[in-house]
Amino acid sequence: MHDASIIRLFQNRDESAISEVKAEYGSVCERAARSLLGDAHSAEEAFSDALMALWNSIPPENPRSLKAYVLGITKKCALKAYREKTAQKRGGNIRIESLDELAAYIPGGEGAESRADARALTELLNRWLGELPAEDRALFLKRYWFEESVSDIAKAAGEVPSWASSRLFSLRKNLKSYLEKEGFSV
Amino acid sequence: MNKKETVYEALTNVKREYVEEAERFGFKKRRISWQRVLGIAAAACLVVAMAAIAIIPKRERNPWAANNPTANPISSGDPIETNSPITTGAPTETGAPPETGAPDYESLAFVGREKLCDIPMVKHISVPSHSQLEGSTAEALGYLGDPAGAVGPVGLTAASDERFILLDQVCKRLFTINRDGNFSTYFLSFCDRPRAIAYLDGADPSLGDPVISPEDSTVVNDDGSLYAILDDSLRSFVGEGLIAVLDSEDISVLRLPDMELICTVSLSEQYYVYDFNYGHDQLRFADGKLYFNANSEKAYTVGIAALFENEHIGAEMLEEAPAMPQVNDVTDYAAPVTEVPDGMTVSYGWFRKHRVHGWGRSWTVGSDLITPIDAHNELLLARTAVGSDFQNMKLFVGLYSSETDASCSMEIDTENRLLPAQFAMSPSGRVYELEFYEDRAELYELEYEANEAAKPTAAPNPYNREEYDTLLAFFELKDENGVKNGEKCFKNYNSSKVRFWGDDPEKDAEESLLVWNDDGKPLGRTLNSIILEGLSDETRLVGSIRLDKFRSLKEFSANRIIFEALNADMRNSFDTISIGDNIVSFGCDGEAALIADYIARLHIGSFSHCRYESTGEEFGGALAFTADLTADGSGHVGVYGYMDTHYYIVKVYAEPENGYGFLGWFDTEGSLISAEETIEISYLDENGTGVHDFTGTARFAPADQSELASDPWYLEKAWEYAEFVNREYGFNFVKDEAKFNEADMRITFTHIESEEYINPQQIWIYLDNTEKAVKHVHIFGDGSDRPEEYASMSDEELRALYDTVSLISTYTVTREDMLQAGYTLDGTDEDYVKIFEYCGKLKTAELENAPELHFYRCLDVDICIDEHIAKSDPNLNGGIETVSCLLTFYFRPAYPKLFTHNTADIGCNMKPLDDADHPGWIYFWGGVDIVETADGWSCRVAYGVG
Repeated sequence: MHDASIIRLFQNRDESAISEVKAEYGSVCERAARSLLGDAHSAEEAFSDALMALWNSIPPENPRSLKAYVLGITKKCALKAYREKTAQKRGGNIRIESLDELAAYIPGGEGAESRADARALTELLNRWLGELPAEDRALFLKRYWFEESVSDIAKAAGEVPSWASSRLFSLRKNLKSYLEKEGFSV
Repeated sequence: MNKKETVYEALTNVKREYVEEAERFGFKKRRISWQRVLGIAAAACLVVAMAAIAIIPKRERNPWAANNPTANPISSGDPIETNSPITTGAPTETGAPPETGAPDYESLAFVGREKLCDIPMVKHISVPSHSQLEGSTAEALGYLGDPAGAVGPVGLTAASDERFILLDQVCKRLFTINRDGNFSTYFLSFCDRPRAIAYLDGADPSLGDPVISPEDSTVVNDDGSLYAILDDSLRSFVGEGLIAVLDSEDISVLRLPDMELICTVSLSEQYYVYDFNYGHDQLRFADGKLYFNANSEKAYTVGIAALFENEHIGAEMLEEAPAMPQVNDVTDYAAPVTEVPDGMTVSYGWFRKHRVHGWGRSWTVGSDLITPIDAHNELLLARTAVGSDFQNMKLFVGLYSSETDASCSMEIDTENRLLPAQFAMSPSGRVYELEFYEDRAELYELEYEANEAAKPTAAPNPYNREEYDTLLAFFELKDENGVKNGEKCFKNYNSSKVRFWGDDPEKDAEESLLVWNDDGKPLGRTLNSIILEGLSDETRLVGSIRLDKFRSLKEFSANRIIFEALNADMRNSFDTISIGDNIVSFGCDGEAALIADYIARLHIGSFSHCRYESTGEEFGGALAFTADLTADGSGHVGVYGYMDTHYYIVKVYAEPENGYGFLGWFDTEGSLISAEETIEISYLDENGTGVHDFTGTARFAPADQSELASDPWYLEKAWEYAEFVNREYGFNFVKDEAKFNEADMRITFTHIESEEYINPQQIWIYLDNTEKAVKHVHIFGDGSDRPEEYASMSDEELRALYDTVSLISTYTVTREDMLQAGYTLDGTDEDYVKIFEYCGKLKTAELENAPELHFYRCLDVDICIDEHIAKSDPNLNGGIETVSCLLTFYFRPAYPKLFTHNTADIGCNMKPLDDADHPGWIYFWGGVDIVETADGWSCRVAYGVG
């Protein structure tokens, strides 16, 4: 079912909207949550929370991309669950390949990072992304937000993987340089 | 929070609009950008233009003395459409050298020069008015140019008494000026708009010039349509029924004749319109597009940027206008203007400039004006940047063409002045020098003596010498056909081209995939990334590339390339080593380690004793292991790793080449480790992920190539066995799919997927041609929950099995042991039966763990029954009473085995169980002796002796 149709179901308060979202985006969302949380059960719970949030937010929200929207909510729910899960033992080790790739280019070492750091980084990321050409912005987010593989991205672009990896490499360098220039360090 | 958590949260919260845009974004498929196309066209034109000069006899090169109008390639006919050097294939017609590459000069010594002409110094770039044109010819030369760029004084010229040729630097078109007294014809050519915008009195229709009516200053196209209306001083231009009026901040576009306002374009910084000092005479329309000319050097640079910006806007506003480049394309051009810093980094600026095709702009280093002008792909090098103004400044006009094969580079002296270091000449081999004076520039052609060393030119200055040399040496290696490695990886390989060694894969993804670090001075920039891609599916490079020579290499990626040798004996920390599908060999010497943050993928041919080490923390444990892999035969072995949900997986794998099959992984003793091509060697314990060391040889053999001969004995023999395997083990090998490898006397049947086994692939049945019997069998599986091997039983294996089973084991059994095992003892002879059974279980457990028996999954024991119990006479046995019993041990092979041996031949008494319910089973007779001791019993179990 198309996004617009599903959103219309939400707007009509038709509960089949939930099952449609599950069918359409369930696997991608659960996979994203699982990559953070590590187990299928927690991921499923996070996705359930996301569906509830989705139900409560549409309307009034009317997302242009339902996939991006629901995935974003799922990631936030998963992050919340992750924090609860690791509250007792500091330093839960997130193992997401694309995140590892990117984190290495964020200035700063492991320290007592705060939520303020994350907010500041978000702000800077937004500014930096805003300055990028649309294609670079999409490339960056497909890799690090949607966690798509390099080869999948390259395939979508009709390119070889080395094309994508070299461009991503360049973007990471660019981001690092930008953050350093802005004096940001976690 | 830790760092990754912070980054994850920050990423999660980026603007939704960006995420939505990314989700919906459709990448353009592989393409050549229009800028690139333009650059190519421009470069081609430059070559043409140079060639046009080259054909003029040397003594006539002074444009003021030349008198041969036919030398002008556009001297007859329409100078724009039909005689454009672009469209007429001028390079060959004009005698331009073939584009076979610039000569390789190691050095140039300039020994003299010949003045070609004076060019008046140009202070303002604008389309002149009548009065301006009525000055000297020289003045006109300086002014003429495309209104889009009006590039000024390096317009190369040739002339006769009647006609001048000027090079439009932006559009690379030649255009002409006829001269009859007071310069009566003035003609401009637009980039891709082959029509005139302005003619003065005296236009020559015979030359294809449109006619202008002096009365109303209206320019009419050939088809009679209105093209332009000129006011009496050319102060404003209108075109195609439109008029654009420039205000201080805005451009208003109006439609004629009722002056309806169509749109207003606001000039702001986002259009890179700064220092903009223009008047109405710098504004014009053509083909629905808006053009600026500014009248200062900076402004004209800016004007170009603004031009494109407004082309785009115009296209949006005017429906009839064609689609034009995106705004981002413009910012790509304009951005470097503000990024050129002082000092050393100006050299970077130069390289950047090449990449943006050098739209005319002025750059300064400190107060020194380095390049008062430049255009598309000409590179103007300051030889001696002395002084703070034009005076005494000398410029080389290097014949740079980014898209062909000419280039040059420069050095910077201790005072941060640019100096020429070397030149790779254009195909024409000419070097020009522009020398500037206050009121003019003089153009010289330099005479030089060149050291025509065949070897490539030296490293461009910014690069680390050792790394450059290493890479260059590898690229320059030639195979037996004289083809260089570099030529196999790069479409337009030319190591002497500055552009080839570029640093920005975004700009040149199709050409140069070398990424250099910005840091590393004073050693020069070091390589960060090398990405090679073969131009054909099987690009075979010769020689060895030493990755350890690159001190900060993070990424090495090769696709569609076969390396002869690749040395990873290095201490660097890699982000990625990705080596594509084919590698012939890969050397890790000695104890050297391949140290990686993580093993993204290492796909190699064969190597020995490579030690991997990770930084350890990322995956919860150190990933240090030794993989000692060898490929025996035509195939490849490799290691790769990837992150599962929580668990870092490392696998070794083998991959046969086309036409070959994989026989298995074998240990140093030659024993089969696994028939699976891929073996995971990672494990997870309380310390996190770890990886086993692994030593193995992957053997490959020619795959089956020939079809079976009709009805040979071996087909029936082999099929008999395959049918048995199908029946007893749930396979579904198909007779029709059989292939015969005559060299190995091997028949291969292919399996069709069954429910019981997931995707097993093949059964290989080796036959003995003498005995006319099945000799040996392999069944290849897929790594599901079955042992990897389906080995047939060789004599050696059979003997090993027998030797293991027949070993005498002695166990001490106490009453407590028996009680704990659940037995009750009542002091009768029945106790012996229980003890026999208990000892049988002990032996069974022992045999189950015997490595020699790993391919026997099931072990069953028939316990002796009462009538088989025998007691020895203590009086005849040293006072010791021994109770004996015969046992029968049944071995059920886990997977199909051949058992065609005459066991007597090898001294075994194992026998196949001739029982339809137990196919493939074999059994042993054995015996158990029990002697009562003070604490219980001593139990002696021996098999194979019955």
